[in-house]
Amino acid sequence: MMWRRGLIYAPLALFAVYFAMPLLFMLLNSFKSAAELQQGGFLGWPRAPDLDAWREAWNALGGGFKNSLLLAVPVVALSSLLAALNGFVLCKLRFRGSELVFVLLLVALFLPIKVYLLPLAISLAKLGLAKSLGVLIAIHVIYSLPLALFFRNHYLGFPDELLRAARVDGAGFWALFTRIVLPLSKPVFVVVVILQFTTIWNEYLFGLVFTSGDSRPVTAALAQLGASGEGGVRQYNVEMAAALLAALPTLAVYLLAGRHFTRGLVAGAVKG
Amino acid sequence: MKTFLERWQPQLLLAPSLIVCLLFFYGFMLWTGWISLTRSGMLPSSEFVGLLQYQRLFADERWLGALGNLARFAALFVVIPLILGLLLAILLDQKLRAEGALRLIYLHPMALSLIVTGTVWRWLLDPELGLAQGLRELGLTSFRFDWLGDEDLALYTLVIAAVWQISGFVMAVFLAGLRGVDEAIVQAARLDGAEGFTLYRRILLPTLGPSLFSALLVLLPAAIKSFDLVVALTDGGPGHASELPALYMFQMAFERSRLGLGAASAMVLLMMVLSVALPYVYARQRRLRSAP
Amino acid sequence: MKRRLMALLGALPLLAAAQPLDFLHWWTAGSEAQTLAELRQTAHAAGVAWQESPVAGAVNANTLLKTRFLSGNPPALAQIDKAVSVCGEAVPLADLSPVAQGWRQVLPPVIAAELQHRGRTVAVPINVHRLNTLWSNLALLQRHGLEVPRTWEAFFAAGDRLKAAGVIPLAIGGSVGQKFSVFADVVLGQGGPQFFRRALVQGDAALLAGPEMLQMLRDFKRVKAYTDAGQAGRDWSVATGLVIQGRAAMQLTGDWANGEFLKAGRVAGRDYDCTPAPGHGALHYFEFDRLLFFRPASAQQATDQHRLAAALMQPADSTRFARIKGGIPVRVDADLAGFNTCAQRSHQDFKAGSADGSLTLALGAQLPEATHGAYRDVISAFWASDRMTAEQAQQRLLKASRVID
Repeated sequence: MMWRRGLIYAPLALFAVYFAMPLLFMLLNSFKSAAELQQGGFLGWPRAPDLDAWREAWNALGGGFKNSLLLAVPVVALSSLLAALNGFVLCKLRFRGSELVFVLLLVALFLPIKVYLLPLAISLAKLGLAKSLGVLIAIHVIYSLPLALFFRNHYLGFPDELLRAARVDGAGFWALFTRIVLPLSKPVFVVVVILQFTTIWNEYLFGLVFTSGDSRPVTAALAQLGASGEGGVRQYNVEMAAALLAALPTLAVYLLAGRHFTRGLVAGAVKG
Repeated sequence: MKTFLERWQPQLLLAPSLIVCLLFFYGFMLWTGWISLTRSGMLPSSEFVGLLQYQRLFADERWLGALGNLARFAALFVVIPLILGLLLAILLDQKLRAEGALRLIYLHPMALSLIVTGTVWRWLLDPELGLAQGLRELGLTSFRFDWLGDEDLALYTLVIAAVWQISGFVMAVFLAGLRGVDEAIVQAARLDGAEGFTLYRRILLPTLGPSLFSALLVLLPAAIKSFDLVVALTDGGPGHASELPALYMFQMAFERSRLGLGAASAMVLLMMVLSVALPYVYARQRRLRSAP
Repeated sequence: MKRRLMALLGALPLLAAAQPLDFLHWWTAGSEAQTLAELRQTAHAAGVAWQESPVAGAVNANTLLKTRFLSGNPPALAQIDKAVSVCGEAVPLADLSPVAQGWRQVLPPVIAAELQHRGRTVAVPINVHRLNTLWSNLALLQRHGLEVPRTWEAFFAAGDRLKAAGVIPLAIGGSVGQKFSVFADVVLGQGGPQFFRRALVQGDAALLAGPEMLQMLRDFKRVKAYTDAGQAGRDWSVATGLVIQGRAAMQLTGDWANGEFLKAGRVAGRDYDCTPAPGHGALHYFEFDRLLFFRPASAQQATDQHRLAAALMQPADSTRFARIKGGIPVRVDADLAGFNTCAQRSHQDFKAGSADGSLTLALGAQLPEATHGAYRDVISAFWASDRMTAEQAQQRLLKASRVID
């Protein structure tokens, strides 16, 4: 029994080293001075650890957090609910053209969003829309439509008898969707929320272009820290601290979502 | 009797999203396609030039190299995380006490900005000052790890960092899949005597079909869209040895004032995706139709 | 009382029509941010209201600038690092000629010409950076019985001796710009400014395909043997650090490296030296920071733009910008008191070059983005590849010279 546990823990520990190493180095280097990193000392222990980098990082990012939250939360909420609805309709309500829609969404998933930067900028200008957080939210929700495929995929495994039974009981579409389907979609929601939140939080180009100064999200600010021209000197210690700060909310989301990785999510409902 | 509303319900529900999707994805792709047929420089122009941009594209060694790199990168970027993610998910499924902590360790890389993790990996893989130096100091004095500067191997540094970033997520997908199996089925199988290896092989793994699909749905697009990591880790270097198409596309359109060329590269990517997606869907159609 | 009222009334029109000038730039950190603060001060002193749109990173700023062009709301002025004509072809520019009358007398012809588009002055220069400097660790060179190389033969000889002694002869960063610098230094050092201009700027096919260019490409690649394996992805300032610490002997990069030496407490002429690149003599190869002005939205903005442009070119201000930024003043009549040794030497060469016509402007500021980018691709690929021959590189260079869009 003991060695069997060892057989499980050994590879886990090994991989944990691979996964945790960069993070540990980021942490280590955020306590060093910029000069120390400049001279190439990124493997060693900090010579004189200090919190300067953290202070500077906080100053640079501070306001961006609020903006990022104001962006990420609505987008993740809206886009995942919309995706669930679309995925369900696409999957369970048989209709002509459902395969076509499936293909359209599938292909749309593969294209880099940067391709749409220019046409979006032009369209926005033609529509007379000013840059704002609202515009950015709308853009992100629109380009998250293909997420419906994840839900569709999950609903494919739903037994039809369940839905038919509910129908016979007199449940309308919306009651069916909100009372039965949504609660059973927890595993997909967990995955989609993790994916979406991370994507939106780490996106910076659109954040840069479609908002102005004060309403810029945190990662636009982060990207700015990392950018430097031929004559500029990068402050790596601040970048490390800033990246760690910027990652905290996403990590919090992972922690919260993690509580849902328990077995028997679909089980009870199908039975009862 | 079904009312009009009831009969057309699915289409009506989907319609708004669909229209938006068509406009913002495909409408803009059509615009991009149009631009790829013009002589657009910094700004869009309406000077039609036929397939000139495509000719230029395929005469550019840099683009051809990027396509080759994408093939190698995508293959590894899909296969390795799938295997690693599945392995980790199975191991973590064993009701361990440390599961929460381990899960977070494996998943956290995705939370870190690619720009910064690219920098960190660049340091770690630095031939002179990175881990290689650390190992040399620990005694392996002739150990060398020059992949970053090697034109044939630099691409694989991208794989190392990218696999690190995404495997935790693939693990999460598979774990959610494993945990989604009806507990009653698992118990029944256990009562029948299935344990450990057999349990997984016969009962649990076959249910992971949808999870595999979900994982691919994330991995394949991510490979094609890879941009920030390339910029931060190798900047496409040395030379253009680790360049990927998304980087080329962005540079041509925004840093070189060659919108027409950038648009052409985007269209080629689209056509590549279509050339895989369409046969897949066609095969599904035939399977669905031939099923009773 | 009456006078105060009159003053207030006089100021009203200014306040009423105060549409601030939108300024897009990427000077968000370090000495660049300090220079920006100086610019801001000058603007305020001139009574010009402006509003800054900072975007860190030249690439991001340029992307943002282009999307603003497309959405039809260009800023009132922007920092640019491309040729003025690149933007001029796309969007309407302002006309600063009314205030630029006296500029020809105090600016080198090459800069004055670059500020013009279709015969009108459209931009203001802020500061000049010399690109063709050879930085060397004097102590290290002397220890190996070497002098700072003044020709490429001397450079290779010195490199051989240093390599044999286990020292990195040339420290280089990982960016394409660093490699391109070396290439430009080789071409200028062996062919001179006229050759450089005709071959690379004008794209003379005979010169590009000729034997001299082939030899230059060979020598360029030869330099790589004197650099170390750790250059992948290395920051230019880390490379400078190597020279400062004595782990490398030399670096070929712009005058911004001077700041690193000074920060480390090194003294020019004693610990380190800043000489023109091998074979350059006193040639001055440079880039200059500039602000491009776009067509104003109103008469008030036009007046503001003119006032600002004039203020930025004032001798005292112009000199101050350069000192804070770490470059040299753009005016040939500037007073270099308070500048360090390297800057003073640089400005002397700058003035001389302006007078005899050898002053050479960076390729990136003269060529369309596509052409410049295509050149960089070739040089970057050639440096990196062990399989590409100089002949192949030459063919690609020729092809690159024909790229326009």
